[in-house]
Amino acid sequence: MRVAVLVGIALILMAMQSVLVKILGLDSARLGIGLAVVVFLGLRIGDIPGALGAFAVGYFLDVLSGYPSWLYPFLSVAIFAAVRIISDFADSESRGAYTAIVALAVLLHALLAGAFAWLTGPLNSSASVTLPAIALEAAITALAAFVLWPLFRLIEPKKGREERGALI
Amino acid sequence: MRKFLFNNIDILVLAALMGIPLLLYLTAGHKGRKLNFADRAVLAVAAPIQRLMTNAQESAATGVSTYVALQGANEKAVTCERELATTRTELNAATEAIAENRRLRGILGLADAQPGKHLVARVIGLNPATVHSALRIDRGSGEGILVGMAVLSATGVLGQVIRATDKSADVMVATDPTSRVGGLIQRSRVRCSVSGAGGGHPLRLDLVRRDEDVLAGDRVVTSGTDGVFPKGLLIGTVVEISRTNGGSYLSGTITPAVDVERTEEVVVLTSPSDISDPRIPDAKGVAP
Repeated sequence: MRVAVLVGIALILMAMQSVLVKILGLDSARLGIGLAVVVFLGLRIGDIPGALGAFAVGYFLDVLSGYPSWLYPFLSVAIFAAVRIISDFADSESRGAYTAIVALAVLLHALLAGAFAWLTGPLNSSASVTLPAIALEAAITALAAFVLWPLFRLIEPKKGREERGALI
Repeated sequence: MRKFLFNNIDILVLAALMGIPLLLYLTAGHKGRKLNFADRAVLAVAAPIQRLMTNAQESAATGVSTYVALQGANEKAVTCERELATTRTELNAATEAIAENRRLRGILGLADAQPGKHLVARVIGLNPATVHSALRIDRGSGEGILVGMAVLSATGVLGQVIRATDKSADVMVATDPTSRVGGLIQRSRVRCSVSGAGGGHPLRLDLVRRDEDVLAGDRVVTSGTDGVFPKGLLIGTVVEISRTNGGSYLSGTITPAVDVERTEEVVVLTSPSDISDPRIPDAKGVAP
């Protein structure tokens, strides 16, 4: 139930961020609020509910991107799996660790999305996202994640994380 | 077998959640897919939030400007000071109204110049993904907007509708990497293809032979041959031409005429009556 609430909040935040990006006048960078939720699911929620939540967040991003293609559900679950793996080496109670992992997740997500778009795009198409834009996106998303951490912790199941690093 | 499934249920679920969308993406999904019921439900939830946020931002901006304008007024001020503050506020509001009026006149002038029917729509959001360039407008299929319709701003070609729900629609802008627009060099009448490069990059000039007459500074307009945009709409200005790559075609970049991030209102051509409009002027501004 609380995973559903987190996913619902993710949808609201993603709808809001699309307007915020326009207000802030960000040209090529975007906020990756959805990824902040995916990382939280990876650090604090169990495997199956977390994976389903990550899939839902990726699905929302896919639809809201204006170009639904099934790429983002795949990437979201892949990021979730990566976070589950590295969570053994990170302090999942720490706000700082969470923020740093969100920044890394945004970098990985952007690189993978660019690579897949390049692989399946039209002939002669060039990579559409630059490294400075990805770095800016990672920085502002990490900042947003730092601010949102207390909100996510409020919604988290009371008993805490179910299984730490149980995926592998 | 049952024991194996039971013991590895976590990994199997994860593999399915990754494998199925990847397979769908690699087979046909990367070309885009039609909206299904669930997609429409997500958009139906998101569009009102985006509309609410846009309205709230505009109201807040108006409130802040009014507050700032009234900062100098206080109870001890003489009547003329109050009148001055009020006048400043009115001037500020009038300046804003003039700017809005000018913007809307531009949009309406552009709309009236189009031969077919059209709708004026407001931009309510930009897409949250970096790979594709799209924005959302506050008009949808309920008002006659269909996939494939051309979308213009006051300064030129913006893009075309790629998704439409009842109350909103997604517009793929010309800078998207998958966008192609049939173009024409206005000065020399050389045909070309204009493609997007995404991520804030300029447009690319394609399919022009090396020996054709194209110079930096040339304006590029729509050719009317792509079945989407009427002829003669401004796409952008050529900024760089290169003939050094050894191929049959030259390469070039074009600065788009439209600033997507600052576009607030757009015109959707709902029934262009004549794609190849013969009234479009040539380089000297004279209709052929």
